[in-house]
Amino acid sequence: MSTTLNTVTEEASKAPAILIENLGKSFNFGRIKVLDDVSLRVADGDIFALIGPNGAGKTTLMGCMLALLRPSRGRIRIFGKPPDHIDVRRVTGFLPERPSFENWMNPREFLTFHQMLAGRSSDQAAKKEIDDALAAVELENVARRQIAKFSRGMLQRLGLAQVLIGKPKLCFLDEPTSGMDPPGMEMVRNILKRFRKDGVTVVINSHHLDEIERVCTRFAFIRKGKIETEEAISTLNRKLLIAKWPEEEKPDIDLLTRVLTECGVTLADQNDGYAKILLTNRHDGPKVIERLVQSGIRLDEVFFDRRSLSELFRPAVQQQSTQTSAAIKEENEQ
Amino acid sequence: MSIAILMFTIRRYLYWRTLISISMLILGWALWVGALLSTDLVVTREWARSMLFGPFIPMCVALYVISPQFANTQQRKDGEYLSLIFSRPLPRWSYVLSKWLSGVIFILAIVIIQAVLAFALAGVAGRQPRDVLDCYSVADAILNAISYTALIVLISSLPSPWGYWIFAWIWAACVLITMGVGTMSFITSLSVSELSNSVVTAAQFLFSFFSVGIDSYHVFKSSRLPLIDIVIYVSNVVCYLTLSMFAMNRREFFYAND
Amino acid sequence: MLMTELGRTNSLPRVMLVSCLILLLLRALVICYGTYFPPKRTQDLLVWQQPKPIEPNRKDLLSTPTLYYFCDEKNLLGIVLTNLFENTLFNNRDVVELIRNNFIPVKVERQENAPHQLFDDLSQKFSCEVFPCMVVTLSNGTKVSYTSWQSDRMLIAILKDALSQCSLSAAQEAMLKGNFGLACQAFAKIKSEKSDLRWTLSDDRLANTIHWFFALKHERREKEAAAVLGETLSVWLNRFPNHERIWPIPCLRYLAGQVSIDDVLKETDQYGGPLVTAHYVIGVQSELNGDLETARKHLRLAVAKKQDEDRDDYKLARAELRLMGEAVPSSEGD
Repeated sequence: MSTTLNTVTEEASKAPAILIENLGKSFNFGRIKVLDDVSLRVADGDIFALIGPNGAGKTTLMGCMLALLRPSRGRIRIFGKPPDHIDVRRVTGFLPERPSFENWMNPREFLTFHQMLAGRSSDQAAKKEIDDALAAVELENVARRQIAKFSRGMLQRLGLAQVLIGKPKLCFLDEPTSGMDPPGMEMVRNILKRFRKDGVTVVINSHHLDEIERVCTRFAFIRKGKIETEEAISTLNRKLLIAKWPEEEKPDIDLLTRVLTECGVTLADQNDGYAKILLTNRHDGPKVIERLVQSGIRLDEVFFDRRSLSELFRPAVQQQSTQTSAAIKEENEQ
Repeated sequence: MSIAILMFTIRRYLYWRTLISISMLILGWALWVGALLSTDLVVTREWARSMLFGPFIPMCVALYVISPQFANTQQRKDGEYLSLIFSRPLPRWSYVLSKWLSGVIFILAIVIIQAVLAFALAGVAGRQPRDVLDCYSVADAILNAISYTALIVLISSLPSPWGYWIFAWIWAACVLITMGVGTMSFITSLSVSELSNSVVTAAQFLFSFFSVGIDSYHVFKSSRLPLIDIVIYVSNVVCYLTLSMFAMNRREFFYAND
Repeated sequence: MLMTELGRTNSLPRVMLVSCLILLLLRALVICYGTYFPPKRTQDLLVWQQPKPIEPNRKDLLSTPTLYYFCDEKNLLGIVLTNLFENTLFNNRDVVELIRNNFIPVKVERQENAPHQLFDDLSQKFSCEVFPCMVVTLSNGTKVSYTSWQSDRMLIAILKDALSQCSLSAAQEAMLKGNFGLACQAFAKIKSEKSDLRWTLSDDRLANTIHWFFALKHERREKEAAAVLGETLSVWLNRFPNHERIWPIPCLRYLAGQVSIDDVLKETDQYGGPLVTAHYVIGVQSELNGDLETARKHLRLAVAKKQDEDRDDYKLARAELRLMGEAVPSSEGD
């Protein structure tokens, strides 16, 4: 417990790499609201994950942080400066979700181009940087092949190499493992670990929750343009409360649901022997137990479950995805 | 000015597909112009000269080569990935300026190759190159490349619906002004007065935005310096580029948000 | 909306913005100045003469041609267009010099509340419909060239071509009126304006050689006629040895006594040469050789077809018939 507290204190004391305040973004003259009052703080050196269902606003949020989209309201500061500031750009790396690079170039030319854009001279050190980047993504053998002939996974690797150019201090990776084979995913994991070691701040947008859990330090769950949860990965396993009752004394489910709603927490799952309660804050645990007991529900055993990120958010993601699919289907039928 | 954009854009123009298309255009055009240059009539030769060094080539090449570079390439199969480029420490005005300059250089190279070819062809038919090529032709080629490339850069910098609207607006303005001035001129009570001067001034001011090129021969041979032509030309080039930069700054480049 | 802050990648350079605004202001000032304080009209540079009624019977066809400048200033639009036209064209030193040295400049104006009978008559005679416009004529009012809106450089080209055309028009007019001495002068003038090679190699010039040859023969200048014919044939055949049968070379060869009448008529079928030319050439040559019977026969055949009315040789054949005292029905071309 003390270790966790120390970590939290340390995190709070760090200067934020990214500070977002009351960010809003809408399209079509305000008709389509994508982000609504988003506030976020990403500490320097964090590997920060943005998770959420499709259409939740993760990509739009990343676009705003990159200053490629203009927020409708609110404020973004990266290392204390506006996101389109040239000093911010100098330390920023970006991997887009669907890479479609200059097809006529070869990887070496492409990386040289980005090295020049990053303002680095073409000396020996620069050449070594390109060699290192190609080696890191295991593309050194195809360094002279035309990009047009690359597969999806190879393009993704090249995109990652491009991120490494210019020694960024802040990286935005949009679905970095998309289209990659298992060795490729391992490679991305290693690069992220290297970033973590080097103190590089990384913002990842991904659906691979297991991967995120392995490498990220913090995450934010976004749904319908709002941040629902934002916390450290280390606190995740304290959020799912398992409450077991005696077999012969199964509580009234309506009562259970009502009490939990009053406490501001969610009933994630239940069966004859126990209920899984999803807490908003891990410190809510004692309060919830107290309220359950007060309402006459007999409990045998209560403990925090050590569950994964995917188990926690998959139901929410799936529910949203189903709604989205239904909406699309309905639209198509019309 | 970004050397990277300038250098790699010119290399992009030298891509084999672009080169084949451009070569066909150059050869066809040079053959035609060469045939015209070899004729006996001064008017035909003058017309060939104006075709060779006039705005046609800059417009065609700029539309074909430069415009796609400004598209949000999430919607395209190949080309530049603008969101990726703009995530780098590259001011957007610098991107616009580099693209414009690369276009000017490329177009001038094409015009020079065409001129050499056309004059060689005309020479075979017994016509002297000096009959057509003079310092005014060279000046026209440079000035037209500069201004028409700037115009195409402006149109390309606008998100696609806006580009079309601009064209529509140009035509509407031309028609309305012509009709307006024409109608007013037939009102008998309206003589040459202060009102007519205001109308003429307004019309000239509006029309001047569409006067893209400049005729260097007219400027140099005029008995008094045509200040108005020079001011309009320089002003238009600066205006087109400034508007392009403004449009690029306002555009959003993220996953087909065009 | 409009950001000029230094160090931002989405900002507009101040130097561009300021230059743009200054130049726009300057443009507005220059245009206003030009409208409210218009520059001096072209009268200062060119001394325009007043129009006079045309004298169709004038014989000095090789004298300085007349340049009629029509401007219609009866309404505001006309005034604006006239100003623009004059400022574009008549401020050019080369244009002014060319007009001063080679033409008699005549300005035909139509102004509000002023009589304009002469303007109407002249514009109708020269088929002028768009104003301002310019018409080049011979001294007897024969229209040689017409032009309206042009660049100053193109106007120079048009006027230069018109000057060449004036001699040719004068030669044709003289031939039609039986003034062969004047025709000889005109042809000699055309030839002196061109290099020998270009004079000979153009198709039009081959036809002119025939007419010049006949004019010289009518004037009993046999040696000169033979020289003109021989020079053209030798230059042409030296350059194109296989073009002996290309039209109208067979006509020239017939005049040089190298082929017979039948050969010429045969070539018209085989190489598409116009029959009217063949009959005209045979007819006039026969007439000049004293064989009036054959001459009448072929000249009658030359004017037999109505569809040839626009051809020079048709008109010339009618003129020859008239000179021979034959009755020729009137035609539109007369």
